[in-house]
Amino acid sequence: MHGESQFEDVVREHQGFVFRTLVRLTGSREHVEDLAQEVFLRLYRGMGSFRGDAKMTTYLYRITLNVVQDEWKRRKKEQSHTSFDDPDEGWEERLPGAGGDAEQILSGKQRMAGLERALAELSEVERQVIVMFHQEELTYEKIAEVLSLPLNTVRTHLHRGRKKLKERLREGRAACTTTA
Amino acid sequence: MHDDGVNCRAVQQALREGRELIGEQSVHFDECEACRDAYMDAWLTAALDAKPEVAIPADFAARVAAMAPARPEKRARVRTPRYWGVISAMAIVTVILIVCFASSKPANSWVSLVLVMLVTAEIAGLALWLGPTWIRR
Repeated sequence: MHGESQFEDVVREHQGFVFRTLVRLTGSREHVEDLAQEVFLRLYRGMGSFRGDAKMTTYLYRITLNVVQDEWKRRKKEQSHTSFDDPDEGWEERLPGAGGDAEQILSGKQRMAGLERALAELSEVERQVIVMFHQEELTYEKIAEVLSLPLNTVRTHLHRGRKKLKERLREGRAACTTTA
Repeated sequence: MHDDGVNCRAVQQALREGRELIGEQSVHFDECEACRDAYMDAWLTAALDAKPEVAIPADFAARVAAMAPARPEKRARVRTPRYWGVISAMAIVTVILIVCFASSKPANSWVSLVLVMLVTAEIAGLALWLGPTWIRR
């Protein structure tokens, strides 16, 4: 695959995944377009060595995770404050339990903000596994391939990650209840 | 799980279907750890499954494709030294030497001397070649 139009088709096909994963894993929409651009340019540079689409998607997942890692490193260096309260948020309102009235929407937003914070507190690999499994609906096998981990390790990370999220959300709720 | 006249299954079913809990169901939910846990689990799954909406510029793909260089950069290939030629050459030499030693008489002839020198050189060569690899382990 060398043509510009073919590459454009590849970008169009996978841009949704790349943008969503970047948003979820970095916890921010800031610079997401630049990061996605970086992902696809890295993909383009490595494109000569693919033999099939499956290999390419695996490579794309890996690049995306690497770009996220680089972004976290950059943030750590800058010691900048990461905001999880994104002004553009709103997708959480589509979740079950979020009703029409303002109080419910606010509560849904607070819970989602809590979830985003809890996600950010997980280990990198737990966060990656959870996002790939839930959001992108990747199989255990595919996640294991992308992360170069044994299948059981992927299962363990998913289980532990979910458990930690639940605990943190409960703690958050308890804190809210006691402060209220 | 406890049953205070309200069935856990019914409460959890109502929660799954997004129905509002009323009266006893609501009281039961506040007191039942299992129901709260099931609710939390379902909420977490739904929240994690939801895909964040992202606004991708319409011309994003075209812009990225235009930014890509005309040809993918060729990766600088790391050439790994191929030892198979050396190994086969050494094997052939060894076989020849064994044959020569087996057929030559144990005398102090110049042929024996040359053969001994060859074996010595071969061993020295092997030591030089394999030595650094073993040391690195």
